[in-house]
Amino acid sequence: MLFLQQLVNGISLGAVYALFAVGFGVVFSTMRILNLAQGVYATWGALFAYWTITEAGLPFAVAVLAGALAGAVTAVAVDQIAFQPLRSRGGGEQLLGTIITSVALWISLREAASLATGAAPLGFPPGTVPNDLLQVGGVRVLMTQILAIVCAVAVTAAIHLILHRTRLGSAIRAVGHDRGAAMLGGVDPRVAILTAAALAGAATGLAGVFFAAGQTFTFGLGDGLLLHGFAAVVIGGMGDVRGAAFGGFLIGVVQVLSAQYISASFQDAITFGLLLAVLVARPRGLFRTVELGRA
Amino acid sequence: MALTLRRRSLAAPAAAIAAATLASACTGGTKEGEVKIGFITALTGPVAFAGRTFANGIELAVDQVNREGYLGGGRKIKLVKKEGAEKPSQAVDQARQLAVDQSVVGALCCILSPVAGAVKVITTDAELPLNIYGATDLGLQDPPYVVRTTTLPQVANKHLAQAVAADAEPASVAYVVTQDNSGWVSQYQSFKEGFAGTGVRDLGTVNTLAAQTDFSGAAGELMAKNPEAIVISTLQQSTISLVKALRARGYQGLLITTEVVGSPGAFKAAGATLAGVPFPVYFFAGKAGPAGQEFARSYEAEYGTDPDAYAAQGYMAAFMMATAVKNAGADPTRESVTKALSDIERLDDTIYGTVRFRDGQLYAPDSIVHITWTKDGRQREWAPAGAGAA
Amino acid sequence: MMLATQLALLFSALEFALVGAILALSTYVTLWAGLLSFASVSFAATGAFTATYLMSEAGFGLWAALVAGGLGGGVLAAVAGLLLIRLDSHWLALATVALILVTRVVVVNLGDLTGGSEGQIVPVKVELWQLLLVLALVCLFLARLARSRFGTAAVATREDPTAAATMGVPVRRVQMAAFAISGVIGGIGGVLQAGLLRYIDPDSFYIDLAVTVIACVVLGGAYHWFGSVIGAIVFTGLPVYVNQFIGQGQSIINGVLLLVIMIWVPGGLIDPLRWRRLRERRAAAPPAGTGTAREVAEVRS
Repeated sequence: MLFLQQLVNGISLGAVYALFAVGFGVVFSTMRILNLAQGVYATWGALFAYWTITEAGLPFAVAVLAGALAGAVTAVAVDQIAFQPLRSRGGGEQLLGTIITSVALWISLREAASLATGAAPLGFPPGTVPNDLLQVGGVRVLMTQILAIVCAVAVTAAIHLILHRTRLGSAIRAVGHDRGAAMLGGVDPRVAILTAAALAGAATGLAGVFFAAGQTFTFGLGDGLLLHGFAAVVIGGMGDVRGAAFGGFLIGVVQVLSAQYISASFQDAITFGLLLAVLVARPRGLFRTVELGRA
Repeated sequence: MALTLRRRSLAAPAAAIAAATLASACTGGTKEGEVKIGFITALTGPVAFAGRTFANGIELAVDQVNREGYLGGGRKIKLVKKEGAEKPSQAVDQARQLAVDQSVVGALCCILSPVAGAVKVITTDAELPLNIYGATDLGLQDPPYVVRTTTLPQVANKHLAQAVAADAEPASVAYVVTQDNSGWVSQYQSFKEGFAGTGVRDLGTVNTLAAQTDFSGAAGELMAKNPEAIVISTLQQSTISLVKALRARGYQGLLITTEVVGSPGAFKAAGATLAGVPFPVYFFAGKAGPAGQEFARSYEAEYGTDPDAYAAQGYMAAFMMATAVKNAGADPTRESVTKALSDIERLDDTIYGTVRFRDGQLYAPDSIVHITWTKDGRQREWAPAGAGAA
Repeated sequence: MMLATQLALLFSALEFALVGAILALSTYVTLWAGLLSFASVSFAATGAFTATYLMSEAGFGLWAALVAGGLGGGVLAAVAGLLLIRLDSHWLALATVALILVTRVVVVNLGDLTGGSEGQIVPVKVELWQLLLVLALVCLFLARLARSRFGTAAVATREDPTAAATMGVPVRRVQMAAFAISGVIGGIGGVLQAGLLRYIDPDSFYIDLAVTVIACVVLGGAYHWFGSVIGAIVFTGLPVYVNQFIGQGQSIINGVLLLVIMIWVPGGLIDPLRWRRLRERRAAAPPAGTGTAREVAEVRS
């Protein structure tokens, strides 16, 4: 029974990582950017959701949308400030350059969040989050946990469909594969890139909202998410959002179960050790799907 | 050719350094009758929120000391504030800056134990007396150079555990602790000591990590033990998250925790879920003596909220340093302040009432009050459920 | 008196900058061979905790500790290199981030050796002249290395590994050597950082330090070892000093500084490529005299 209980907890934590990993994977496969600023999308998503409830007095559903929107706006802003100038210059060393500019935005936006909140711990006021307790055969599940799981699955499916079933999606994938060729084929790379950034930001913003909903959070919310999100992406593989999502769920379950049955103090060692092991053994992730961008 | 470039590359930082030197040379002088006390603040970084409250208490005390002419002879304390962000490397660097400025005769520092441990090495090397205002790990004080006015939560936790065992009589207790932070481990052990030998059955401990942010697993593990009471000895953010996670999952038993939930900000983040959770403090305006009442009034007037335990500790740290400066005589030096600081054995009529110092550490066991939040965000003395519960 | 205080403050800032420079050089060496690695921080942690243990338990002095720390960093680098350098660039970067995370967990859980979460006091103090001496030695070593066969092979590997391999450069071995050298320098840097902080705990060597170090390299210029030194002075030394005037929002200034450099001076402050380009243009240009103004204009444009 305890095992089932912890499995459910792990899956719902994994849902948050999955949302994050999906966002990360979309950006990586279209722009080949290791985006260290991704964690702050989640922070700002959570903050705007929080303010939607506490300042504007709107319901949780609106807050979730506000969080996704804030994440998307942050992502587009970061892309335009940090990555667009490097892209327009072109040339090699993109990897290093974009890592550094993403670090620049990471520390700036994180500090801005610290100033905006006075570094205070924040929590969604009781009663504003649909936190009903459901008992399914002795397993306790909160409504928000279920919502997080549903949301993660839905967002993954939606982004997968957008990428594979729409014209815009083909454009995004084409840009990831080869920007020059995509332009020749009549695709506007700017629209494709901005859409990809916005999708990634929205997914990450949602991750932030669900991460914050059940607990207390601070301006540092995105940092922990970033590290575990990385692990999820690497394990699941970046080429396919479904793999990234699976990686997220897996990391969540591994974390909770290893804390319960092995050792809480080693839960991070297990998570990141798993990450290293997968990198060494299967550098493209557990699911070696056809990589979008690899020539 | 290359030279032109190199010169240009270096010009900007060089100019900035020159400007900075100039600026500080203009502001850094010591005025007549001014005694400089270094203060390593934590207004940014991981515990900025607590850092703010500590700083409020310290500034209030210094203002009051200066206004009332507490030092005598028209002398005033000037705080030399350095932002350490409560990160060891940054705080150490700031401590070094204070150490080299010989006109600084005393220093106030530190909320986190590792930071205090790092800073005290630097200040002691420089024979600069240090008063630790917030770090709680056992044994941080090291007189004559390092004293501590932090009220020991360990003593208070043990006290609370004994009271809970006697009054609420839970049959069993489980613990949750931030396992990779020594301060929280020592607080956890003090709770265990308090419950030991009281007949309350120990159902074991759940470990969490400082960087952990999801507590659904920890809550599940705790509830599976089915304890009648749960002791939470974790970082502030973790504590609030755990209380929320446990209550949301329908845990009805008694939750017991530490002073970290005592600030108005903690209640704002946690809401009514904190109601009825006892925690020990040394300063509670509702039971304080005249000096404490006065402190609570002026704090409320200045900052618009009630002072919490951190504000009180900040106030007390600055007050003790001021007392040492006063006792050090007309022309205080590091040496005389060190002696005066380590010579203090007892202070009467402080905000905690009478406090004693043993081996450089403040003790005020008589001031310990067990309090709790009410549903509407007020603090009151804690009594077991049923006996006057709100 | 006031001047003496100001000088002391300046020296304090300089000391952190010098250690930052050594750590940046450790990262520079891997970049030299075309590998983007954050692992210098893990090497530094290994060096620092090994050396501190030996200083506390076996009474090692600073120089012996530096040797031990360098060895410790080198051994970790060799092991990590064997496992990781065959990864593609992005994956290597990720793997080294993971290495930092795992290192921290190990440090926390080896309480008997590392002091665990409480951290431990470093018994030996580092003086400014010692830092200067070590940095000078490292720079001398790298300057000689740059002129050696390794230097040429590393540059070729960085420019185009496939082409380098067809020209007979043993790419993997060059990268392996770069990783090991990076480990030794990182280990030494870690010992010095510990001696400067006088107290180390698991968070002394973590992600934020890794980010600072890589920022130093890129800010100063990743194409010449001297760039790392300048970058460290600007990025670690300057904020430490300016910190006393600006309290809040300092990180935002760091971030903006990084962004501005990356966008407008992408080669970093020390960029030999641009010097060469300028030199070539100048050789083609008419009489000197007017040259200086033109160069400045070019640099600014």
